Amino acid sequence: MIKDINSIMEAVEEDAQLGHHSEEDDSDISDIEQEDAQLGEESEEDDSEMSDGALQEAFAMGLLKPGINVRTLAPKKTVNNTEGLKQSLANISKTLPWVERLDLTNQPAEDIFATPETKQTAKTSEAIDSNNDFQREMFFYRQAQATVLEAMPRLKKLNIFTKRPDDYFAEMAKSDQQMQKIRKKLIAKQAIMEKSEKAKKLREQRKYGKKVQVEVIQKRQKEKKAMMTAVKKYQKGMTDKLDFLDGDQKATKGLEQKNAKGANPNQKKAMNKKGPNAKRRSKDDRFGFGGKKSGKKWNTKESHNDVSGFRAKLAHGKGGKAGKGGKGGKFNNKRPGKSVRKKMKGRS
Amino acid sequence: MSTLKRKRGGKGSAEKKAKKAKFVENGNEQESKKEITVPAPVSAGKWKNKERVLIFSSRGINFRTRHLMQDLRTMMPHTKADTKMDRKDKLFVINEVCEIKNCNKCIFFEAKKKQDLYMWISNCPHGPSAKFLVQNIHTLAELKMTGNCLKGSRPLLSFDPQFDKEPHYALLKELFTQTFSTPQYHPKSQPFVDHVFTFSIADKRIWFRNYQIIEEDASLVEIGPRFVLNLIKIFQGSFGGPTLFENPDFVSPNMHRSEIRLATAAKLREKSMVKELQKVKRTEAKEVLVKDVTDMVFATPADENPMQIEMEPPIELKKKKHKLFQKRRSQQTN
Repeated sequence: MIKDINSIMEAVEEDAQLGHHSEEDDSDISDIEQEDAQLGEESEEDDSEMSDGALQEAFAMGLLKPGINVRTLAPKKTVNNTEGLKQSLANISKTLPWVERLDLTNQPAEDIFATPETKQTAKTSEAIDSNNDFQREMFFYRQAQATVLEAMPRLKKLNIFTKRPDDYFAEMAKSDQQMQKIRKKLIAKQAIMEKSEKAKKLREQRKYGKKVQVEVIQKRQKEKKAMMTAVKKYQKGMTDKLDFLDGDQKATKGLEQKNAKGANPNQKKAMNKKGPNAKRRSKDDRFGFGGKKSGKKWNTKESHNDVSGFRAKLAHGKGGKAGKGGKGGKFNNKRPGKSVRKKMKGRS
Repeated sequence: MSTLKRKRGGKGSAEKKAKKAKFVENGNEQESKKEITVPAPVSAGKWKNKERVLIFSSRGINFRTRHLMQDLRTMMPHTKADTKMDRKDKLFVINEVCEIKNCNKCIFFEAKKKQDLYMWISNCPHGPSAKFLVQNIHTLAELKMTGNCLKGSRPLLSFDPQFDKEPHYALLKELFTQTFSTPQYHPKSQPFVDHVFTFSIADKRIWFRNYQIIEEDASLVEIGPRFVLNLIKIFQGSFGGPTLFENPDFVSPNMHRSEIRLATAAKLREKSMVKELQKVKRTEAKEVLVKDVTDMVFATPADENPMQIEMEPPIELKKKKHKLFQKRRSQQTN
């Protein structure tokens, strides 16, 4: 059933009862026509000449269906002369013993390496995806394997050898030069792989080594610190035992002892809670972390806007004497004048 | 003394005597046996299956095809070579050439447009012939094919079970078997069977592979050459005659190339059409909608949506390249 859209359109305009709906634009029709012309499709019937009457008759017979009827290409009829093929086959077949032909037809052998998750082993050649190179080549390989496995015993029976002895020299299909080239290439490939593996390993080692080094240094520093604190404690008289001198031995021996003794660790903890000395703390405040004082005298927005250090009374000179007087005569900072001091000196 | 050198045949190697054949690898190949003159019993048997194959080509082939032909001649000792045939001559001339050379099978390579390679296999005097399109040629000289075999050793042939299912495949199987298998006790053949030819059907094409048998447990290495055959037609006569079978899935390389070109052209045309339509729409006078008073009757104010603040940047989807045409098997390039 191959219809022409143009003729259908005409039919619709003429007789709406046919019930054809066409919602296509003109451009689409021309498109299809253009495509038809270019792809060189030939319809079986000459549709452009089909008259409306013929169309109506066709509809009456039930050949036309509602909807858009598009021209389609008839399936190409190819020659398949099965009889002729079989005849030719019979003509050329020679009755030869198998040993002359050495041909076998078989399914591929079992794939021992494939697991159900990695690849689906194709059993028949229809199942393989020819674009998946690996699967395809494995299929061919296994087919050859199956042939070889089947043929081996048969050949043995016929006294034909597949293994040539080591001292049988004869011309090979590929020359020695060629094989040398192949070997060189393989070796080069292997060398490259090994190099990259080595480089990777070296990188890993270096990373690991660096880590280990850092850890060792840190451990040493910790130990030193511990030693120094222990020494200082002894100096200050906090502990009167000289245990820390045997330090290492104790460390290796008394891991269990350390855990068993509850008192010692607690004592140590108490010491450490106070942290460094008061002296140490004050020094830290002044000089620690690069000396905080260095950043404190900047004239920033915050410092400008910071009026916490402003005493209005002091600034306007109002509360000064009262403040000073309030403190007390002896404790005020103001120094007496020379005459007063002389008098005082003279008296004492 | 001279007889000591020449042993090449089944018995010579089987009986491990001192009289073993030692050939210098530079290819001092000597023909040890002709059936007529028998100076010394060299081979274990008589060469009965007189199968000779003529392999030659037309003009205009490129280096890859030439190497493929050479490789086939290396692999099959029962082949003969001939000079290039002029394309002006009709194909049935080949039958005469075969007769002159006393060959009963023929493999003829034909190159067209310096791009496409066609192969004819035919049974020469009267028999059927088949025409194929050859693709994906890899020759013996490729360094990835690491196997090697004796020159002229007899091959095992391995066929896909699909070859038995269709009559045209069965005919092809018979043709391949007779063409590619080396006759037993052929003077140029070696007594060992150390490689296997594989013919498989995949993607409606015939794939040819050649493997070397290394161990008895069937570990194989590819020797090469390898190619893919796409059947076009089978004829009843040799290089002519009525067509017995035509492959419906075959698309000629010209058609294929033109299809690709048409597809891209159509795509472009569609784009430009869409653009034009958009232009027309823009310049069109737009219809002014008359406001209907009764529209607002059922209008209820919608709930306010909570404001959504996006915390993460939007995901950009990767643009996929849509290929209009899946390119078929790579064509032989010049």
